[in-house]
Order: sequence, then C-alpha cells, then structure tokens
Amino acid sequence: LTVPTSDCPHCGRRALQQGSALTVEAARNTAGEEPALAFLNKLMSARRAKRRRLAADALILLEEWSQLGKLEVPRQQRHIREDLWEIKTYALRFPYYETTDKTHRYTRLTHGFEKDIGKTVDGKMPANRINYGLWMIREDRAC
Amino acid sequence: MLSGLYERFAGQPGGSRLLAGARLRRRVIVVLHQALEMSHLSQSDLAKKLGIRRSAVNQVFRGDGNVRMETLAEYLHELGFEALLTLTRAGEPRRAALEDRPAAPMTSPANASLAFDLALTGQFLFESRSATRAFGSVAMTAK
Repeated sequence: LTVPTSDCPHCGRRALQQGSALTVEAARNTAGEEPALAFLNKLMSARRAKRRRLAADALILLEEWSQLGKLEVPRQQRHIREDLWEIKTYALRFPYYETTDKTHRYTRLTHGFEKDIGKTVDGKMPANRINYGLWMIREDRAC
Repeated sequence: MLSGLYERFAGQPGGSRLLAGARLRRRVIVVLHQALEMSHLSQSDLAKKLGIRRSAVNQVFRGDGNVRMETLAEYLHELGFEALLTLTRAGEPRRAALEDRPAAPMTSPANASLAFDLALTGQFLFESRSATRAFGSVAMTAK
C-alpha cells in the first residue's frame, strides 16, 4: 500500500478515480472523515477474496464512470432524493452528489455500503442511508 | 490521470488479477444489457424464451455471481447475438483508460494459441488461468 490516493490541488479531497469525463472524490465531513474512502479501503484490505472481489468490481465501475461520465448500464445509476444520487454494483451501493467548477465535473461519494441480502438491485435504499448521505452532503459543502 | 485507489489495489498480491476478473465480469454484464436493449425484449420475455424464472434472468443481468459461458451464450443467442472474445495484454485496459484511448487488441497469429487456450477452459471466463496472463474483452455479433 505504497501508492497514495491523489489529492485535489484545490480542495485537498481524495480523487478516487480521475477520468476525462469526471473525477470521483470522497466526500468528507467536518471532522475530516471520508466514509466512502474508509469503506473502500476496508474492502480492499479484507482477508477474504470474496470481499476484495467486491472492491475490484467497485474500482472498475468507478473507472468506467470517470471515463464516460455515465454508466454503460443506466439502471445502475439513479436519483435518490434532493441532490443525492447513487451508483451500484450487484452487491454495493455508493450514494453521491455532483459538483462542478469552470472546467471539470466532480462527483463525491458520500459513503458506501453493502446491499441488504435478499433485496433486488432495484430495491429502495434504506432511509437511514439516505439521511446519512444527505447529512454528508451538507457536511462536505461546509468543508 | 493521477494514480489512485486502482493502482494501490493492483499493487496488492493478487490485486491485478482480481481487477482483470472484475473488468471481464463488467464487460459481460454490459454486453448482456446492450443485447437486451438492442433486441427490444424485456427480461421477462427472455425468461419465457429460455423457459426459466424471471428472477434467474434478473440475477444474471445484475451480475450476481459467476455466469457460466454456456449461460452467457444461451442468453445472447435468444436475444439474437453471439459473443466474441478479444485478447489484450494484461494491464492494457487500464493503460488505455489512463491515456483516454481504446484498449489495443492483440491480433498477431502468435497469440492464436493463447486465445484458443482461453476458449477451451470451459470454466468461468474470468477465472481462467489464461486470464491471469492476458485478459480479453467481450464483443457481440448479431446472428
């Protein structure tokens, strides 16, 4: 684990993936925590290969998203509430919101979590996850 | 593009292999969804044609679990397509993404035996031993 994540020269946020269409960053709260990055780090360093495979799926998804600015399977991306959206793999969900500057489009993952077992991919996101995502947006904007 | 989580994960033992597997799984899912869209059929229509439950079809389209080659071929065939595999050097898709260009396929006759080896495994596409040396992308062709 010697390669650091990339920091935005403007705001210092971590660029999880940087592509020609957009940059994916981890939103952070006023305490300096970055739940999305912590979630991915935990998956990436898991002992079980099955969990590390989930991390690989997420990284490939983020690469595609940053390159194209959208997902090739549109149903894996949808609006949740207010400024909160989500992208997902079959097992993981990543709520996010978007922001832009004059030259580039940024998406900030508020957090990440594993989908509840037995629910379909089209299932609703639990209310506590939505509320946490909305809270993280407010926190990130305050940073 | 700056290096980030992807490079960190690829640097872990077995990380690049997991990413190669995830990339191939992703291509399979994208190809399936493209075939479904181009066929103007629904997942329910496909389930009827295949004589199986819609939930089983949905599971495959979500990318939940390993998809057998035979299953992939059957689904695509019922949708009016067949899949072709293209080999490229391990790491080339990521390099291509970093350089914002399409991945270069391997087309020389010297690679034919490797392609044959990959096709003969009869195992899950992304768990082939050959896939650890080089991994392919999946393309579709109409019947």
